Amino acid sequence: MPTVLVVDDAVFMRRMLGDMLKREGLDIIGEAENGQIAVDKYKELKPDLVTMDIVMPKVGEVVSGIVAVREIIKFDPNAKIIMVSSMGQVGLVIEAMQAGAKDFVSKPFNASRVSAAVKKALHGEDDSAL
Amino acid sequence: MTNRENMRTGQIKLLKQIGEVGAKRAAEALSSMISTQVDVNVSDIDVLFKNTFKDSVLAPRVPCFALILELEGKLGGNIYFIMSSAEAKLLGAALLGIAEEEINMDDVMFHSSLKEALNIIAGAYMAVLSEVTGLEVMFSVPDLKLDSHMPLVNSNRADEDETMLIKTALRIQNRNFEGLFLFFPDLPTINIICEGIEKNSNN
Repeated sequence: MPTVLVVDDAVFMRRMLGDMLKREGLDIIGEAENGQIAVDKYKELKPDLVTMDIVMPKVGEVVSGIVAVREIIKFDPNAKIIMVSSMGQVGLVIEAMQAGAKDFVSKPFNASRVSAAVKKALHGEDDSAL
Repeated sequence: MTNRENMRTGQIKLLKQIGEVGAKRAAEALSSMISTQVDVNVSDIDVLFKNTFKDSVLAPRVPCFALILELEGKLGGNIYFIMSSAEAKLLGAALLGIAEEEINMDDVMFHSSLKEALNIIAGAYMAVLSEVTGLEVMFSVPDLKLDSHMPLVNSNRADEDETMLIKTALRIQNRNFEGLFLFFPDLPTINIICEGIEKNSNN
């Protein structure tokens, strides 16, 4: 069962996304509420997938989800990361993809979009119909 | 028409665009989030000046939740989305799929769900602002506060010359909610937005 680290400062979104990912057959092995914890937990748990919120409280040197992506990719160039953005954050999403993220979903996400992003990140499947 | 009147006309036009399109997007977004029909309508739009604002918006001292966002990047100012705590409790119950009586006002999950829902509504309006002006609208991590109206909107903000207001009505599971979207752009930002609208409408 693929493992996943869910990163979001909102506990409600972590629970909502976690429930969707479990239904996709993923094992939630960790959660993080900011970018610094996300980087630390990635190194410790080495999950198969990370979902990463973009805008989170600034803690330590990892001041955003995008910086966390850079740090994780530096540690593991094969890391598979899906960005989770709010509406209208197009510029930040592009920056995150350039930093190495595999895909993105916009809040509020639905199960089919999350499923497509997971398949694309884990297996390289791109379902453009979604 | 004076420059100030021109600016006010421009702001009203902007608010109408943001209100009409933003409400539709917010409804779609919230429906998707809680898997139930959500209707969002704009019941009032106005540009208020400081005295009117204090009297008409902040007078009722009812406990409220406010989502507070600070604009970042090229634009400056603050955004507030305010909802009475009684209505927030109902909204929280709908979001969490539990009865209103089960909501604990101090519960972390309740606060988090409310913050995300209000953030999505504010985000929908800001996404439209970005589209009509052609500007990238960036904002801070949202902050959720519970207090009476006046302290929520800090005194400096309430003294600003102009406040843009969108009164938003939500209907979820046959229940009505009302929220106030308040946008306090600083003066350079008003000018940037007006220029952006003009430039974008000419393209």
